[in-house]
Amino acid sequence: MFGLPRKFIDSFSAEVPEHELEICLRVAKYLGFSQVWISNPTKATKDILKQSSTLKYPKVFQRIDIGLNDNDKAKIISTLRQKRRHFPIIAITCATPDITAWAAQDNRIDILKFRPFEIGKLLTRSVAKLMNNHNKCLEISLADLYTLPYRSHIAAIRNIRNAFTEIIRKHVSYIFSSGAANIEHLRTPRELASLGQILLNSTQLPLNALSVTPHSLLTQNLRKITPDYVIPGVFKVNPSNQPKFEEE
Amino acid sequence: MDERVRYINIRMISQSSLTEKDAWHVVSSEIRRLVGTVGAADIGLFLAFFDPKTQGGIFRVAHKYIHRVRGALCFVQKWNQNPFFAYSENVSGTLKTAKEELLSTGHLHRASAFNKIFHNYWKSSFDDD
Repeated sequence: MFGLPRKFIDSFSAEVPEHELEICLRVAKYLGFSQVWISNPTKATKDILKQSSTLKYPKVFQRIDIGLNDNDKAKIISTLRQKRRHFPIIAITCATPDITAWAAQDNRIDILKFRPFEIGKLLTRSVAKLMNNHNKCLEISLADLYTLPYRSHIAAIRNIRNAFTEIIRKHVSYIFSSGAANIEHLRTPRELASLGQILLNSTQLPLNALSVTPHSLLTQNLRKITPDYVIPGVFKVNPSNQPKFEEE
Repeated sequence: MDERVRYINIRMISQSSLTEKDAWHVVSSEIRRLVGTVGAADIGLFLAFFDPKTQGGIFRVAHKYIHRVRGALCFVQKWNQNPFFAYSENVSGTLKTAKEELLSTGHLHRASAFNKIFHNYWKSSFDDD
């Protein structure tokens, strides 16, 4: 049976300049994305988003992307303390084995990202197991792959494929995104899924990684930033919603 | 299982307009770079139709390997040292429907919007340099 059409979700790189954000959103809408995640929004970005009409652009959600520049653990922790209650998604780009192992266990972090030429070294079987135990998600920014120089493609594709064998073996969820820094890096969802298909050797899974998996992650995490959230699995129950039992 | 054919519409946006030969070279060279000559032979790529006015081409491919063509399109960034953008529109089973889709109002509207956006973007980035 045919269901509803898929709603594709993309996430942009943190390096998108403020003046290009509006045009990137327009192109994303034309390409067929219904939702876009923007990394590290500034005050100016938020103003642009407020002014923009929702008809022209896809639905926008903001997320925190901890980049390679702040791979100091103390700095990451302070960023997490300040911002984690305000953003539904928190992603980290891992560059060292220490940070990777720590991030795979921290409850505040939702997504782990790796550079294509480092993923094979950092995403080991033990890290994949930790990610599964702590419900972490792997994100592959495909723009990192297709913007690499041609001489690096062979190694990058091999590294990503090796990482995916571990990820699939340990049942870790993963998402694909364009990770575009400008409009030239944006691609249609079907093209991104096809590239995912080449990496994974599977038909349906890459499509889910662009639509179903990010959607479920977001809905789960939007609940996390509500004031009722206490710790994973524990929520405050509002007494006004409780059914009243009358005494006989 | 028998091989079936599919027709994939690919729209190209570049600073100068492309000929049929250019369109073929852009797609085939990128596919050959990604999957090799043998892989390209499996795909059975063939340029069935090209409309120079709308810069859209219809490529015939084997139904099992559509993902290879689309995947290869991701890697296309430049053509003749000039910025270039190509995207796939839809896949159909017959050449007739593929042509109808290529020249449909919705797709043409989107292509003209992309043309405007990308030409302005390239112009502004060229001015910055």
